[in-house]
Amino acid sequence: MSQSAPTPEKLAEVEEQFEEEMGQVEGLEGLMSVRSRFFGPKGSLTLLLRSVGALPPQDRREAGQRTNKIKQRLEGQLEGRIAEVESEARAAELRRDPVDLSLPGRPALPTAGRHPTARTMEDIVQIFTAMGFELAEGPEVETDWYNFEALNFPPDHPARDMQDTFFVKGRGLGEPELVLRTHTSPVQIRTMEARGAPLRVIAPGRVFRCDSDATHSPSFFQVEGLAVDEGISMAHLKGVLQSFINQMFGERPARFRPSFFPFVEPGMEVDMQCANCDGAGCRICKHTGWLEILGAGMVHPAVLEASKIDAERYTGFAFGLGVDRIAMIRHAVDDLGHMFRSDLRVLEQLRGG
Amino acid sequence: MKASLEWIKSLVPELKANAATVQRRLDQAGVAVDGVHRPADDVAGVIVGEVSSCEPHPESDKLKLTTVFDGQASHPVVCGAANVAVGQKVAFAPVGISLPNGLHIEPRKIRGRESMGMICAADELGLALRSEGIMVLKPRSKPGRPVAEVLRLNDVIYELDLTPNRADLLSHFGLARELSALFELRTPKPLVHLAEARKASRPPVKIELEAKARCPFYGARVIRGLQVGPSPLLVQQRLLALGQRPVSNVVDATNLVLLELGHPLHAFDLSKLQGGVVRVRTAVSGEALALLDGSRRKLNEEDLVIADGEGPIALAGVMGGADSEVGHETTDILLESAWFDPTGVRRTGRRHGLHTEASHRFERGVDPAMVQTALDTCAGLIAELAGGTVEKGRIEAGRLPDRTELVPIRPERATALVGRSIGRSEIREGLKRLGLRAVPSAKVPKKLQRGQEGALWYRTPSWRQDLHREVDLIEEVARLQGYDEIPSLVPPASGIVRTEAHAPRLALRLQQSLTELGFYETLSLGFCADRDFEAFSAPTKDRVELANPLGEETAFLRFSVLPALLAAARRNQDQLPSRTDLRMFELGRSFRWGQARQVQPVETPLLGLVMRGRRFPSGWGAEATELDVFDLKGVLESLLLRLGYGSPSARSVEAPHLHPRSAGVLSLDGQDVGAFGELHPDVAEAYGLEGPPLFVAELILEALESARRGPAKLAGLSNQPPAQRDLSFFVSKAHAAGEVLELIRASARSAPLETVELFDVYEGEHAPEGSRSLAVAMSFRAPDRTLKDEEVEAAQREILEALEAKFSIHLRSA
Repeated sequence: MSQSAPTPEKLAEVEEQFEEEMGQVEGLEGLMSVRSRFFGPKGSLTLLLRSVGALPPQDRREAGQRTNKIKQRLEGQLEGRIAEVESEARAAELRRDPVDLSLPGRPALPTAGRHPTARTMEDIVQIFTAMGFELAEGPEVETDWYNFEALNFPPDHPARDMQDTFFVKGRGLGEPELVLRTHTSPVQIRTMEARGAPLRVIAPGRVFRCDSDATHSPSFFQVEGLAVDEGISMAHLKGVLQSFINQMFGERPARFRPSFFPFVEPGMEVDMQCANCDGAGCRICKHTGWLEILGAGMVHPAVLEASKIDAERYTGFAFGLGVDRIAMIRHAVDDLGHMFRSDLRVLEQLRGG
Repeated sequence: MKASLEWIKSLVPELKANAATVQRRLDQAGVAVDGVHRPADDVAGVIVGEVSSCEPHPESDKLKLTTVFDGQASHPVVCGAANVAVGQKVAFAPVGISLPNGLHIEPRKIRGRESMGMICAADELGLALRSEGIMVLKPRSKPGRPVAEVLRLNDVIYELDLTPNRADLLSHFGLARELSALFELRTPKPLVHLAEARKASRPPVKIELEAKARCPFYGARVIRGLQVGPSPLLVQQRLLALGQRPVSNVVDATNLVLLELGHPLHAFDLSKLQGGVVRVRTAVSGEALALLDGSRRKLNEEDLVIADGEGPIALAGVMGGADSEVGHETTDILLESAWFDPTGVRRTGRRHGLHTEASHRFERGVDPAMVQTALDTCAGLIAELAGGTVEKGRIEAGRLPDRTELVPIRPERATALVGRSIGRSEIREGLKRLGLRAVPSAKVPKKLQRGQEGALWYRTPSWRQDLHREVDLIEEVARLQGYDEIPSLVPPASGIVRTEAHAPRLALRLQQSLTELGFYETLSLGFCADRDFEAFSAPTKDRVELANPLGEETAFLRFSVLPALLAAARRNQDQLPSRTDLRMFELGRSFRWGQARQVQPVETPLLGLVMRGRRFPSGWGAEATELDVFDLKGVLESLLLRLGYGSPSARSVEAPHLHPRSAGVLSLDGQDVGAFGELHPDVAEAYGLEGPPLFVAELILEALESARRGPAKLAGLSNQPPAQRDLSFFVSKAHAAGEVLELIRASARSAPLETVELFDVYEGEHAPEGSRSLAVAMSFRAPDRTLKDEEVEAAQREILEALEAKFSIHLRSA
C-alpha cells in the first residue's frame, strides 16, 4: 500500500498544504491546477478517499466520513474562489470599451409634432366631450341664413359690421348669397334643426374674416359650444366655462362681463386670469392681468325659434372660443403670423406638450 | 368711441367716483373700456418757462435768441415764433423729453447758436390742430410748474368698445345717463342754452318730406350774421382729445353736439340753397352729388338725399354736399336735425362705401326725443362760438317716430334664465333706474298679455331701441348687478340618449399616426391663388371664387391642400437653404361647385402630405440615403395599417402634378383613396423648390371613411411548420410587380399560401432586354396539419403555370 491511509494527521497535513497553496495561488489557471492536484483523478484528496477502501472494514466508515468532510469543505472553498475569480473576470470583460452615451441618439424617424392650434382644438374638444357634448361639424361656405339671419343678424343690421365677411362669387344660377362662415355659430342652427332639443354639441372648425393685419388673420379656428335643455341657466354656463378654464389652464379665476352678440341674450365676454403671469401683469395680457378668451351667452329666443325649437320650454347657452388665441396663450406666441406660416423652426419649438 | 370723463362728470355732477372705479363699473355692466388715455401724459415734462431775454438772431431774420428761466436755471433757446416776447410765460420743453408729435428735444445748434430746449406751440403739444406762434400762458403761471397742471389737463379719455346694440351710449350724455343708473344717481337732463330772436321772421326755406318712410321728421333752424373762424383753443383741445379734427367754429359746434348728445347735425350755407325749398326725397337715377370728402357720387333711386330747388345738396344721414359747404365767407346757415330710418342710411352708406360719425349713429338708431333738443342746443352753441342771431322757431316737417315698446318681464322667468333669485323689487328698481316706465297691466292690451301671466310690463325709453322682448329686460336686470352675482353650477345630466356610434375620429388618428411617422402638422389659411391652379393644371371650371378677396392670395378657395404645403416647403427652404429634409402634412377641405341644384359648393376633407430629403434624420451615424417614392408609399402603407386597413394596392395613373414616371393611385378593397407619387419637376419649379425631389400624396378622407373596417379580428395561430419556397424568374417590365404578386397569391390551390414576400428586383445586364427578375419568398401553411411535400409542390406548379400563361415568365436557373 503505497498510499498512506487517511489518518487525521495525514488529513491535517493535506489540509495545511491546501491552505498554503490557496494562500499563494493567483488567477484562474492557478486555481485549476490546485483543483487538479487535490481533487483531480490523481489529486491527493482523491487518493486519500480511494485509500479508505483499503482499510479494514471496521475503520472504513469513520475514515471515509472524516476524509469526505474535509474534502467537501476544501472543495467548497476552492470552487468559491474559482466562481469569484470567474465573475470578476466577466465583470472586467463587460466593462471593457464602454459606450459614450453622451453621443446624440440616432432617431429612427424625424421627431415631429402636431400643429399647436390643431392640438389645442383637440384638447378643447376633449374637455367638452368629457362633459357630455357631442361633436358636430358644418360647411365652411355658408348661406346668409345660417351664418347671419337665423342667428338674429337681420339684413342691414350694424351688428353685421362686427364681422368682416368674405362673400363667395355665385354661379349666376340664382343661388342665395353665400359667405365664408365668419364664425362656427351656424353649426348651432344646423344641429338644432337636425337633432332638436335637448342637445349638447361642440363644433370645432375653420372660420374666415375679411381682415388681415398683425392681430387678424383672414382665416382662423373656433370651437362652438351649445347646450339646449329645459332649465338651462346662466349659472350653468358659468359653471361649464369655469370648469373648462380650470381643466385647460389649471384652476384660475375668470371674469364674466356683459357683452353683446346678436345670437345670445344675455351675452357675455369671459376673461381669465393671465396664464402667463398669473394676474401680475405682463406683455401677453397687456399688463391688465386678464385675457379675454371667449364670448358666450344664453341662446337668443329668436335663434331657438329660427331652429324650430320651443323657446318658452327650452333655454340654452352657447359659447365660442378662439382656438388660435388660446394656443398662442398656451405657447407664449406673440405673433399671430407664426400660427399660419408653417415655419418648421416654430413647429419644432412647439412640438412638445 | 372716445369719451372724456371730465365732460361726463359735467353732465352728471353727482358722479364723484375716480377714473378707475368708473372704468370697472362700466366693464361690469357691459360697456367695454379698451383703453385709458390721460392727455396730461402727452405733455409730461413740459413746464412753465419765463422768457427773460429775447433778441434777434444775428444770422437770421426770423429766428430769435431767447433765454428761458425754468424756475431754477436759465437756458438759451433759439425760437422761430414771431410772437415770442420778453416777460411771457410759455410752455417750455427741456432737453431730454419727447413731445406728442414724436419730436425728441436735444441740445442743438441753430445757425451757430446753442439752443437748449424748445418753446412750444399748442399744436406741438397736441392741444390744437394748427397754431400761429407759440402758446402764451397766463401771466401768473409759476415757472417750473408742469404745463399740464397750469392748463388743467386732468381729463381722462376712455376708449370704449361699444357693441352695436348700444346706440344710446354714442354720446357723453348717454354715458352720463348710463353711469347715473349704475351709480344710482339722479338721471341727467340735457340743458339747452338758446337765445332766439324775439320776433319771428318768414322762414327762408320750406321743408317738403317726400320720403316719409325713410325720413319721418326733418327739422331746421336758421342762424344769420355769424362769422366763421377757428374755434377757441379749449374747443379744439376737446375735439382733438376725442379724436376729432377741428374745422371751423360752425362745424365744430355740430361735432360738439354730436359728441355731447349723440345726434348728428348738418349746417348748410343758406346762401347756396336754391329755390327756397329743402326737399327730402330719394334720388333720381343719373343724379350726382359732390360730397364734402371731395368725392363725386352717382346716385340711384335707393339713395335718400336732401335737395334744394335744383338738386341734391346732401346724402341724407351720411355726408353733406360740397356745394353748400359752410366756408369762411358764410354768414347765414341752415342747421339740419332730422330722424332718418336706420336701414336706409345703412344701405346708402354701404353702397357708397361711406361710414361717417353721422351714419354710424343713424344706422344704429338715434333717439327721436333728442332731435329737437340737439337742434336747439347746437343753434345756441353756434351763436356762442360764431356770433349771429338764431331766428325764432324751428322749421319742421313730419312727426317724430315712436320707437318705444311695451315689453313684459316675469320674475320667475328671469330667475330661471339667470340662475339666481330675481324678485319683483329688483326688477322694478333696476328698470326704473334705466329709464323704463312701469305700465300697469290693466293698461296693457289683453291680447299682448296672453301667456305672460304674472308679468310686469314696461315702456322702453326712446333711446333704448335695442330692448324688444322679455329676455332683453332680463339682461338689463342681470347686467345692473353684474354677472359676478350669478353662481357657477354644473348643469344637470343631459338625459340625452346618444344614438350615433362613437367612432374614434379618423382625422385625429391620422394626425397622431403621421406625427409619429415624422411628419409635422401644418395649418395654412385655406385659400389659393390663380397661379396655384396653373401650376397644378387644375380644372378651373368649378372653382369657388371670392367676391371680395383681400388680394390674389385669397382669390379662391383651395382645390387641394398640396399648394399650401409646397408654399410652406418653399418658405422653409428660403429660411434655411439646407432645409431640404422635410416631412409635413395638413388636413383641410377642398372646394368646388357641384350640381346646379346644390346651393353650396362641395367641401371635401383632404389629407395632404409632402416629404423630401434624406430617409433618416441626419446624425453622426446615419446613412445619408435620399428618399424615393417607395419611402412615401411605405409611409402610406404604414399609416393605413395602423388605422386598421389592409395593405393598399397601387396602380400607375396620369396626374398633371405628378412625375409621369412615378404617379400612382392608392386603393383599398377596390376603392380609390388618393393619389401619390413624385412631384412633377415643373410643379416643383413653379414653387421655387430646388434640391432633392419632393414626394406628395393626397388622400380623400371620405374614401378612407367608407373603406373603413371594424377593429381587427384575431384569426388564430397555427402551430404547424410552414413550408418555405423561393421562386426567381424573369418577367417583362411591362407587367407591374403588384399584378404579378396578386396572381401568385390567387393561384395556389393545392396548398394554402400564407405569405408572399418580394425580396429582390434585378434589372441588370443579365436580364433579357425589357425584362427584370423578381424573386419571391413564399410560405405555405395549413392551420390544422403539416403540409405534405407533394401538396406544396403542386401548389408551386399551379403558380408557375399561371405566371407562364399570363405573364410569359421564365424561371431563372438556380
